[in-house]
Amino acid sequence: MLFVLIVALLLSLTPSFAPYSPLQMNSKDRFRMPDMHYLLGTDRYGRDILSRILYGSRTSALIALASVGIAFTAGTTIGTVSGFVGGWIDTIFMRVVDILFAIPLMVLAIVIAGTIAGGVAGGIKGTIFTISIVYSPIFARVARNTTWLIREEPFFEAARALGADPSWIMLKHVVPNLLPICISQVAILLPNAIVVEAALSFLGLGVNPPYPSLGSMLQEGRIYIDIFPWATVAPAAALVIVVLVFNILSELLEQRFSSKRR
Amino acid sequence: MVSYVLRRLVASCLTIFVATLVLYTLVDLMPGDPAQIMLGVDAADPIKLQAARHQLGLDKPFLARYCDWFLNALTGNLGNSLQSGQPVAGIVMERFLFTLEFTLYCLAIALCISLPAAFLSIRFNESHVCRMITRIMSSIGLATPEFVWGLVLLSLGWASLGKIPSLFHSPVENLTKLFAPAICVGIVVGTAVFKMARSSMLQIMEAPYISTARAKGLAENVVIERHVFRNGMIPTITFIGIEFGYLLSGVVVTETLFALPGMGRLLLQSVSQRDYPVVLAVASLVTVLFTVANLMVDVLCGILDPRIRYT
Repeated sequence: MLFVLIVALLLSLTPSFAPYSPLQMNSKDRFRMPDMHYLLGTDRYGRDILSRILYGSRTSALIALASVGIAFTAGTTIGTVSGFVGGWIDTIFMRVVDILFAIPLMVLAIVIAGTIAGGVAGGIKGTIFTISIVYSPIFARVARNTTWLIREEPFFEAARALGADPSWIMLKHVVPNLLPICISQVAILLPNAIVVEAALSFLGLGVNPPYPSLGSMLQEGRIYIDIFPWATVAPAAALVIVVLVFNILSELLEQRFSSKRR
Repeated sequence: MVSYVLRRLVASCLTIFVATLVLYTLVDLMPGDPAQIMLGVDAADPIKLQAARHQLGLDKPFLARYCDWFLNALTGNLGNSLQSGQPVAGIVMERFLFTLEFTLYCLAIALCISLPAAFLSIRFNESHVCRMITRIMSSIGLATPEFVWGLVLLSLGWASLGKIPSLFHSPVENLTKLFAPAICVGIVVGTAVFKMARSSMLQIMEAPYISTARAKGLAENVVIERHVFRNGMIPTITFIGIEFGYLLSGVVVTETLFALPGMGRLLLQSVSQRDYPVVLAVASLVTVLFTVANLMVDVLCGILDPRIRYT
């Protein structure tokens, strides 16, 4: 728990902590193992690895939070409205969601990232855009199914009988019952988003170089893995740590919001 | 039962049809004009550009183009690659078989790792040591993406795989060479399956019939194997069907890392080269594969649990 807090602090206050600029290349200092000057060594261009890892983790965390946040908002809204209204609107929306589900995650992400997101000011915004689109159907499906279940509840029928306005019912009854499940979904998807962002950057479709990202650092390090494996080991270890931290955070989030209420 | 399967089949076909429509739309939005890409330098000449556009059928309205593509695809004609001019179907088919084999290999490894591990972790669930080991291993397994395992293996020197012979020509060599990449995906998918199997089996342990079995005097091993494990497999199989999509995705990244001659790498290459017929073909094939896998899982669930047949 303490560990999580430390990492969270490090990530959010990165500009103060990172010893060097992540983009600055000191050519004469290439391929250094960790020493007094460069705490985690340097990469092929002489950039400090520690700073790059810090900035890269920060970017990954940002992208994950933003894209899951957008997917959550958009997905649950569509799902709730769809489940509430029912009828042909519901059928259409759920067919679209089914279709998006039929295409495997990475394939969809690659196709979107390669095609549209490249045009939408690529890099960070594009990655957020891609991951939001890929995750929204999950939230929509979960929200819609839960809304269907809530519709069966007696208190829902009672509220309708009392003449309550549909939007009031949605806000006051449906949404609070919806939140635990959707927060669970957020908890599952947050660490997953970090991995997807790293994978996209690794494939060259995510954050554009020279901006640091854990995935692209892995890609760059891979080329000379025989002579300088540290450049790959460091971001790999950092990635595992970040994902673990997010896993713990998600568990905490879930315990706080989901289990206690329901 | 038959009507259930038929309904699922119809739903799957519909899904494939609309999914390919979505993919076609996405690919159509790709920046870059295919005629220009194909012509290269000649694209500056407007007459040649117009001729190329007409030849590729780009001046027809969107739905007409889509229907043409779909009907051609059904007969096996997926167009020609923009880069090489070769028919797309030929390029994709050999890679498709490779990816199919690789995917099944990864799935097999995942199951070989996860199912015995789940069995053992439930069998020795009393021991605190066992529970701690389980927690640590599943945390690490889930936190580490496939390509990190791949990089670990690469740095250990399992790098140059050389030419991988087909499964039919020399199966042993094929399997040994593919073991390293398959393990990368296998560990990640296996951990997810392990967690799911374990949680469903833990739920079953609460059931009264387990205490009955023990009271009857059955050995613990037998209780676990006969009752807990088999009943626990039902939701796990559903989960494996859902995970299949993730398996395919993981395969894509690992293929790139180990430079395997599969569809994942083809997808990436063609996306970066703006070779849109190939992108469309690969994405559609993967979707079909995924939909077929889901269909089979649905049918299997219908066989195992009769209540599902009435949905």
